[in-house]
Amino acid sequence: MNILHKLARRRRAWLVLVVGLLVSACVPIRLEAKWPSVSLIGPEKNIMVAYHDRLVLVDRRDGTPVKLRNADGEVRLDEQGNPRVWEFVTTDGGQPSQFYSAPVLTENNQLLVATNHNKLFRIDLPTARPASTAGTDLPGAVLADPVLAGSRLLVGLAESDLVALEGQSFSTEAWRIETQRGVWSDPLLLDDVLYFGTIDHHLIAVNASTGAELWRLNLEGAVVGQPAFRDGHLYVGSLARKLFDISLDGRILAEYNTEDWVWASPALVDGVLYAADLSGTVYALSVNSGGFRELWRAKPAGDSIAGRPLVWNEYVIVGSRDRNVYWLNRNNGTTFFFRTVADEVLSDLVLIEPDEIVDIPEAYVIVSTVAHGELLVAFTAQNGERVWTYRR
Amino acid sequence: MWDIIINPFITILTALYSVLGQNIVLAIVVFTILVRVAILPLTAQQQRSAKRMQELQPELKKLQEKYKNDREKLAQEQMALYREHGVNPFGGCLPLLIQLPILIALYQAIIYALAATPFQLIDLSGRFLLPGLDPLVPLNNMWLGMDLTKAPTANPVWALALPVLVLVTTWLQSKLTIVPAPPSEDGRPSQAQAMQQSMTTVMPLMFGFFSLSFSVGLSIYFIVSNIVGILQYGFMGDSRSGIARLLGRGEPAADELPKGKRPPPAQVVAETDKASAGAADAQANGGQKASQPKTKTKTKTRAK
Repeated sequence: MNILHKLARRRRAWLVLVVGLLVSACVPIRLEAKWPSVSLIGPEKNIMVAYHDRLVLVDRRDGTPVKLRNADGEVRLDEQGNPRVWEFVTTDGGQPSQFYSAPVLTENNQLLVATNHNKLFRIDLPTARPASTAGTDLPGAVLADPVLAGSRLLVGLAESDLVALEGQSFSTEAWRIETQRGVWSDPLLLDDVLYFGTIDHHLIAVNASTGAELWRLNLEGAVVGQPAFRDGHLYVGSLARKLFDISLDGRILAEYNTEDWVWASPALVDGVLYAADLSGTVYALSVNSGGFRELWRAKPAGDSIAGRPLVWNEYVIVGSRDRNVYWLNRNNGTTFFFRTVADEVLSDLVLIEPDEIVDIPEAYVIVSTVAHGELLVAFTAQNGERVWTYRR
Repeated sequence: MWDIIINPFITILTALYSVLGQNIVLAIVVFTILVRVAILPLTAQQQRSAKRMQELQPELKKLQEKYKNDREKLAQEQMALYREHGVNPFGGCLPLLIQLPILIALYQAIIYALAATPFQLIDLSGRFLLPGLDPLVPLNNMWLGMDLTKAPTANPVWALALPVLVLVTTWLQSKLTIVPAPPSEDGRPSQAQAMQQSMTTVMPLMFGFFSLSFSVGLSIYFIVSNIVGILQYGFMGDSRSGIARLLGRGEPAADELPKGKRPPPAQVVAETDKASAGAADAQANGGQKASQPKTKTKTKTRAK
């Protein structure tokens, strides 16, 4: 009875609970549009991370931010006497710009980086200084990696078309290929032909010089991964739960059914295509004799694999949304071992080759998570030992 | 845990999108109506329960006054009163607790289905429970020149009408459907009254404000859901008292109500206590207009 009475008097608590529940349900599912983009930049092959509100250059040896140096090679210091590090953070109208695509390095050591807030910045790599703090306006948001073709920057717009930009600040549009829903797939440039997937289910081939569309092929589902190329064949997956073997003149030569959507770009090594899907399944398919011949399929992960599999020595290494990185046997797909990280792994894994000159004794696998507290982790490729962690 | 509800919802919403000419707005409208109709028995039960509890308020007040120094006895008497009138004091909570997750899941399903970014689209994977829906992904989210995945402020100017509509329909619905609590014994607004008043003012403003930053697709869901709620209330009867509240006239008098809606026959008793009279008057009027103490002979309803 007392409980009844107390409950009746707790109407305010109930109200707070209900409103709290409603508000929590109203919170957007994700604040970020995409996961980190990780690439190796420059002659020193340091690690460029584009994620959320900033670009950071991380030293591949020890996972520390790269320190900026003056002309004499001395580390530059800020007002407090701390070393200045390679970091680019900017805002657009008070909002932080959002970086999700890998920058492109030009011949004169300029980084071209497109943002999800419709801006293009040109940044001097040695000094991390932008040519213009305001940047250049882009005709749309960008999530895919741009490609440099001669003096033109080819940029897939997340919600509309693919454009070729030229001029000193890339503000002039040379040509445009229209799509209905946008481009999230990183384009592939081969012999002056650009191949890219679209959200409206197509793979498109374009003459990069003229902008003439060569062909447009319907792949039944959104195409979000970058095509892989080998011996006159393109290999790409789509959200129709299929992998496709496509000729360079735009014909589907073979199809292979997967268990779930194919988001990751496939990796091609020694005539074997290694692909993964969002069910967490990894596939090894021989493409030597035309078409696909399944060598093995394995499901090591309990959640999606969205990053390209990394093939190294006897391993196929994949990262999953289940917060694990798996080292699979390249011959049969069995799991050798796995390593757990702080959060979901969605980005492509990056391999750091051994380099005795800079004291990297063995190969590292760079794993990127969506957690700012563990943005990058370096594992030894051979036995998965954690070497360093980069926290933002 | 939420996926148990959300995934079927996403599947149905996408299937509706497929059969309704790949029109996502139509799919949202139809699906919202279907869900609201499906939980109609719960909504009706909740309304009835709230109404019954409201009608018992004067009696409860008297018991509280009578047994203010004996809490155990008070609780026993309250339970006896509930039993006598066949009221479950938690009868209104259970339907609310059941339908709240359903409505939240519907809301979440719309967010998932309207996936606009890689993160949102990857979150959608593996959620379809029917084969053949993959080729529809991502759903076409353009409607009347508006991108349904974006906030009204990032859309053409006419999209700003949607937060206004959310505000207006939320206010209308809360004004119509929330049964006002009685005032306290001394005629001043009770705590419950004050809370309700702030709810009917703050909630619409809150939702209108949210809609400015949420996607246009969700605004459409809010509007449709509110309109369906208003229509349901109208069909469930008692719309006259709701409209009276809406117009700021309080509840209609008992004799103004349709026959079926009138309270049980009143038993005339001699009443000297003004406060009790006020409460009894409130009861006769469905819990309303109790703030002005009466000095004439009062009626007291004893529903049996």
